[in-house]
Amino acid sequence: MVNKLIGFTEIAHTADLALKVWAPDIAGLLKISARGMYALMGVEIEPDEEDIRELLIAQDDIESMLVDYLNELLYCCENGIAYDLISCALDEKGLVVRLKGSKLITIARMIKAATFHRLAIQCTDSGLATDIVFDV
Amino acid sequence: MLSLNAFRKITDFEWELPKSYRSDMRVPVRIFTSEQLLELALKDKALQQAVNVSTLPGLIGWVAVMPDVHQGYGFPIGGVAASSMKDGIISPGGIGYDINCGVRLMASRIHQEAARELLPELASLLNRLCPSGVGVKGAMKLSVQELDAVCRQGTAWALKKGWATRQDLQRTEDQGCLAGADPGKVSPRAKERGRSQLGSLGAGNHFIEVDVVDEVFNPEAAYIMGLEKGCLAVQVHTGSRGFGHQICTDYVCAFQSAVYKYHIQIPDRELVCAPIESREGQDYLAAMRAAANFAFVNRQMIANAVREGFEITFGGRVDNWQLTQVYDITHNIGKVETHNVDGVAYQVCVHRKGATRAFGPGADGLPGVYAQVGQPVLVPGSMGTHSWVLTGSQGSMARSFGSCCHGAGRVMSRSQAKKKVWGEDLKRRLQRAGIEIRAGSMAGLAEEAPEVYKDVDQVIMSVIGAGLASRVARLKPLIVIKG
Repeated sequence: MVNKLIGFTEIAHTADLALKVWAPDIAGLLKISARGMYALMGVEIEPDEEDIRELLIAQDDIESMLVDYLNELLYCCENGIAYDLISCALDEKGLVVRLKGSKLITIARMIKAATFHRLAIQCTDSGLATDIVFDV
Repeated sequence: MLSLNAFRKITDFEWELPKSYRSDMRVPVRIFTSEQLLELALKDKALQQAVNVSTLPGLIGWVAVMPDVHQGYGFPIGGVAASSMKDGIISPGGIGYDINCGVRLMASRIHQEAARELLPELASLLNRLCPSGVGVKGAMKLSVQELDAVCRQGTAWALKKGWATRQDLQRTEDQGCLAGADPGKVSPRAKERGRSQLGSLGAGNHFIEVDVVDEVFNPEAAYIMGLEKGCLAVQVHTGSRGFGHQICTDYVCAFQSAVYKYHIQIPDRELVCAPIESREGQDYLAAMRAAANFAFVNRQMIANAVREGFEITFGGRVDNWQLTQVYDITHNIGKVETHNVDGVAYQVCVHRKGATRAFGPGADGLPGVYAQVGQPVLVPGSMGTHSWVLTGSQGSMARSFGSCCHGAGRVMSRSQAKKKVWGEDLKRRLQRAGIEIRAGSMAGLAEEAPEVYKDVDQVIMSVIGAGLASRVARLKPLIVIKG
């Protein structure tokens, strides 16, 4: 059963990978986009090891902040940690994201980058939605 | 929806989408392909992406599209755009995240029959000696100073260390070093990623392939290249790893504001760009060249590991087991070159995104050995199918900014491939066909199955028909190593 409020689904892309994501708000969109990206990568994490950290995404338009956030998580994957969003808040410096990290056990496939291609966050009846294309 | 009717047929292998197709196009789009492959190219958004590219300011002539074209992000894969150095732009997304992804081909005098029994051993050894796979690092960790030297000197750095021969250097595009690289324009994070990744293959569509020279079409050129029918050859396909990815990520992000600063209208944010002569454009160019030089050295280090594998496997068992370099080419790059359009010479930055330089006989920048026959053009097929060695031609200089295709070109998405192909089945099928497979991931193997690609032989027929290149030799795979 598809969750109409928050979720992701893989969409076809000839060379790369792409997701459709939707969520009620920006925090949900960041969270579900990361989960979708990790699903594409086949990420498996250690269940018991957790590390809490804060990340500041510089103030910008919402699409740029989403791309920055996902690319930051890709960099963290290279260093062996996957993060899940706990909360986020916008202040004068940007988006302050609180994250819970877990050690990676495996990754099936690396993603080079989240791209801006066709990225346009739309307001929908139930919140926000966008497509995201990843370079692999 | 773009359809075949929108194109004007110039020849059987050249088609033009005129500027009138969309009001924001500044130049036409020309695709060099058979009608059959053009129809295939219309099935995804690749040609719409080429139309988007044609809207960028300062382009000269037309956007050239190769027959292996398929949908990418921003630029299509298989797209070539020449931007005027006077008033044109440079676009990081038009070069791609894997800066100087490319192919190296080495030739041997080892006959397939002499090697047959040793191929399984060679496959396992190469898999062990050449670090590959998701997130795998290289065998060494460079200091920041050493990394900066790699960025500035490219293959000459490896030569000084004793990890390259003078012939390797001479037989590499631009002698393995793009001038003007500046590691000072590279972020600390990119350097951190690059320090530990030199000499690693990566994953995805990157591979090492041991082939047999299956057919020779131009004996003179094949002889010059060292390719002999029935003998082994090796291809290495990889790029600048996380170092290049991070540089592209950094500059795509930085250029988001540059398009506003320079009042550039773009139809897709991944096409962000800046005037080449601007501070932003020059900074990216210097950083991109640093990544390109890193990638040349990366392939050099992998080539060394392959040579070690050949020595261990064949030394003392087979005569003349040495591997000599045929050529090393890039297919994701921005290069400053001079091209003639309608009788006028323009200095341009040629963006090749999934396209190979294909300079014809007598062109500047070719090593003496290839001055008469033209530059070797290396076109890997998919696993289990042929790869091709071509030479560049006068036709490519006149029609496609000295460019040619870079591979077979995907036709099926990765999600479709996973549904249709099982990695273990594919591995068995390829092994039955006499191909030794070593792969880090069966799912990854399935995504690169032969059936997800176009027929490379048809792609080659198109570039030959369009006059972009000439055939030299055809290679058949014996060993495939994938990350």
